[in-house]
Formats: sequence, structure tokens, C-alpha cells
Amino acid sequence: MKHQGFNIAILILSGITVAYIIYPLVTILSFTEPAELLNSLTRPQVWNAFIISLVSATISTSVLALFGIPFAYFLAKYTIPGKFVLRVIVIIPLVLPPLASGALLLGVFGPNSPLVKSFPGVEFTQSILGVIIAQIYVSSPFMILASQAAFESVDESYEKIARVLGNNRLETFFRILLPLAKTGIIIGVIMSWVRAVGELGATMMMAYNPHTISIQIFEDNAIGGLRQAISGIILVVVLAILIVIIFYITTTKGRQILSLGNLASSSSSGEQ
Amino acid sequence: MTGVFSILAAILIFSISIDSIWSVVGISQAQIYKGKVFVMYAASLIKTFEEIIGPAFQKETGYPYQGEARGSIQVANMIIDGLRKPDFFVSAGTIPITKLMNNTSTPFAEWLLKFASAEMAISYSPNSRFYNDLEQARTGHIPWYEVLSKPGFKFGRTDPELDPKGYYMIITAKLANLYYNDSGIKQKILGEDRNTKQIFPEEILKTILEQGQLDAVASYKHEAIARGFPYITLPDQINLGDPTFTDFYRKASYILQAGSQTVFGEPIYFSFTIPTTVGNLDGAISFGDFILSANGKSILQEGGLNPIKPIAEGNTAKIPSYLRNMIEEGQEKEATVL
Repeated sequence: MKHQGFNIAILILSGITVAYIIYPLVTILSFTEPAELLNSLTRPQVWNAFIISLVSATISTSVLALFGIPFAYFLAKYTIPGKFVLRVIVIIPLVLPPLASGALLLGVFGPNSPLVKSFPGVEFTQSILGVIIAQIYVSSPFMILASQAAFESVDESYEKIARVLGNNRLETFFRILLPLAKTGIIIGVIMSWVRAVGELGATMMMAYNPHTISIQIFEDNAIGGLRQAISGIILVVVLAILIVIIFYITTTKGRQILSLGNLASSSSSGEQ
Repeated sequence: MTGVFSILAAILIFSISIDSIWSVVGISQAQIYKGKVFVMYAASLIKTFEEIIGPAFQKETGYPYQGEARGSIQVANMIIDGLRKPDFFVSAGTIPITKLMNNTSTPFAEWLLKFASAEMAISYSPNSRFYNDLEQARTGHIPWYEVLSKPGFKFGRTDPELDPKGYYMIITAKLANLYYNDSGIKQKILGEDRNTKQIFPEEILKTILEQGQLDAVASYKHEAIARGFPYITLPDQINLGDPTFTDFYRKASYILQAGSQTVFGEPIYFSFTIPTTVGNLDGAISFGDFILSANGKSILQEGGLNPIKPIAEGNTAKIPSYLRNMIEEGQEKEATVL
């Protein structure tokens, strides 16, 4: 009986959670007309904004991976005094309201800053570069924390054995640690990418133009209310579907879910 | 691992090869050859500027248009704080620009041109519980302020510290006290100046009205027209749209908390300036020319604004000669027609 009670409780709580997330979307769709929606969806500025979001988020996530994964390795494996301070620093972009992050970034990259004045030709703000800078800042905690947790979850004895068998730190990192931490890191990459696409507040300060899809939705709402903003919203929801598909294809766990187990084992050995 | 990065690379390549990316790149190339014009403007104009004026200007002149709508006071604050360097600034009323002109350390503007007049109105939603009463008020059967004072009526407006429309509404309500000889009107319909139950950011105000969360909002007449809302016209004596009542308008005021500046009631003139921090002067002049041209004026008129003969204020000698000539020529033409 208790066993059944536990199952029912889990199902009810899950059902409420799902309804809470999906219901607002369902209600919006109910008051749009298909013709109006199609018109709204085919506007070039909506697609421009969508492409800008995809491209900038990809670049941001790549840059973030380049710096964030090594930093996460540092946090996981190196022992230094004052690590506490570093941990606080890592979560600051997570805790700051995005508008505040954007305003602070403007202090560093805005037209009056010394950094910008030393690079006169470059447009750090109100440009795609500004979008990327904003996205990197707000997404960084996701990349760093997820990767750090992934590294820390790998049993240290694997690394120790590898070192004993003659691998140096670099070889151990690429041959043992990274593949074993793969899933956690991929989740970090995906979360950073998604956060970058969904970013609004910091981008509004750093680069209101060219519009990302979030800003386009914001502006569409200001101009014509939800009716006009729906097209952008739908594109983003489609993106959510794509992301889950990507997760299924690229992670071992995902492929297992899809019962492509054979594919998983043969390709992962070839991935080294 | 390589799976993820190849997916990322695929997205990058795929999106780059889509046609629309070329238009983005095209714009950036155009930015290099014919510099973009960065226009910051009063948020009530967002639909007209983003959907009509921006594309029309770009098509006619070849200058890429880049617009950002915000409350006019907020624009002035951002310029003063060094957060933005627009080429062109369109403001609701003259106070945001005079704030730039009077900035003590460095003035950010030296002149302004009033180019269109606007008036206050009450927009409302067909979804409101009070819709019938509001319709009665619109047709003049019952006083509008009585409807707004009804218990449970939810009125919305913008922050007087950020948006001229915010303080204009307060001033209009104070003028209503005088005009209708009832000193309780302003308190009944607005409550205190920064009444937290009524104040919302400009960008979401009309949306929550549409969704039925508010019954009516303070707006300019041209906003109501642009957005397709039914609206109540207010008497000329209080709607800040008729210069013949300038002296009467002056009887009400609002004190801006930041800087303790007093804003007196005045006819609402939309005005523009080219700030001193302009990057693309030629583009900015071109935009000013477009706004003042016959084409620009008819677009504004369709959007519900009322173009006027331009009136210059401030250090008029600093107005770019091209624009100054345009204004003088316009005045000469008017003289010969008469």
C-alpha cells in the first residue's frame, strides 16, 4: 500500500509541474488566428533575430567551453587557499539580476571605458560582439559548475591508475577524465547554450540592436502585445524540441534512452 | 564529446548558409560603407518608428536604421551616464532634452526642434468589466473621471520619474481638479503620484491592458490609435494638446525626485535633437530631414501625431545648417501661400 502511495504522490507532483509549465503556452495559442500567426512568423526580422540568437549563443558557448572547462578542472583538482572566494565569484553572474550584469558590463565595455578607447575600430556594444559578451557572462556559471561537478564525480582512482601507468596530467585529462565526465559537461554546454539564447536583461543593456530573439519578442510585445510576440515565442519553443533531440543524439545516456545502445558503445571507443 | 561540438558547428554552418544571415551581414557591411543611424526615441512611438519610419527611412536614404525605444527621461539619463551614444534623440515633450542641455559638467545637447504635438487620452480595453461605463464616458454621457473613480477600477500609468507620459497624466489630473472645480478628482483617480498599484513599465502597460489586468491606461492619443484601442478624448483645457491653453496648463506641475526639477504643465510637443555625442552626423541630419519632410510628416500623421511647423529652442545657431534651411524654407513657403 505504501509503495502505491509513493508512486501516486510522485505522479501527482509531476503532473502538476508539467501542467504549470505547459498551460501558459496552451492558452496563448488559443487566441491566435492561424492566418495572423503565419504572417507574423514570416517576418524577416523575426528570423534574423532567431539566427542571431543561434549563432551568437553557439559562439558564446564555444568560447565559454574553451575557458570554462579548464577552470572547472582547476576548481575540481587543484588545492589552493582561498578557493572559497573563487566559488563565490563563479556564482555571481548567476545571482546578479541580468539587467544589473548588463549595466556592469557596460562599465567595462561601454563607449567611455579605457578598454574600448584602446580599440577604436571595434564595436563592443550595440553589436553581435556585445551580444556575445553579455551571453558569456550570464552563462558562465552553468558551464563552470556543471563541468566541475562532472569532474568531481569521476572516481579519482581512475586518474591515479593512469598516472601510475605513465600518463602525464595532460594525457590523463584527455584520455580518462574528460570522457568519463562527458555527460555532465555536455549538460553544462547545453545549459549554457540555452541560457545564452534565453538571455534578455544583459543583452538589452549591452546590445539592444541587432535584436536577439528574446529582444525581438520583447519589442514585439511592446509594439503589438502578445499577438505580435507569439511568433518569436513559438520559434523558441521549437528550439526546445531541437535541444532535446540533440541531447538524445549526443549523450550516451540519451542514445540509451533511444535504444541505440550498439551505436553508443562502438562510437564512444572510436571517439578517442 | 566530439558529437556535441560537431552539432554546434553544424548549427553554425547551417545558420550561416541561410539567406537571412546575409541580410544581417549585409547590414553590417552597409554599416561600414554608409554608417548606421542609431535613433533613441520616446517609447510611445515604437510601432510607428519600428514598423514604418525605420524601414521607410532606410529605403529612401540607404542609411541603415537602428532604433531603441525607452521612456524619454530614461534615454536622457542613459546618455548622461555614458551608457548610450545615440546619433538622434526623439523625446516626448522638451524636458528630457533640456535636461541634456542643462547638464552641468558637459551639455549633451545644444538645441531642440519641436516637430509634432500630442495630447493625453484614456485608452481602455474591450475586456474591461467597466467597458460599458467607459463607452458611455467616451460618448460624453457620463464624466470620465467618475468611471475611473469607481471602486475596483484598475487604472494603469507609467512612472513619472522615467516617462514624460507619467508626469503628464499627473498634471492632467491636477488640471481636471481646476477645470471641473472638484479638488478631489486627482486623488480619486490616481492616488499618490507614484502609486505602486497603478505604475507599470511602459513596455508592458498596454499588454496587461489587453489581457484584462487593467481597465484603462493613461496614454497619448496617437498610441491608442496605433494600437487600436478605444479611447476617451479629454477636454482641450486639460489634455495638454492645445497651445491656446498654455497659460492654464502651467497651473499644474510635478516635481521630479531626481534632481528636484519642477515640470510645469505645457502643450506636449514631440521634439528631437542631435546629441553632442553623435557618431554619424550625416546620417543623423538625414534622419532629421526625413522626419521633417512631407513623407515623414504624413507617416506621423497616420500614426495619430499632429505635425506642426518646427519650433526651435536653445542655441539655434548650432542646428546643422541643412535642417535650419529646411525650417526657414518651410516658413517662407507658408508666408507666400498666405
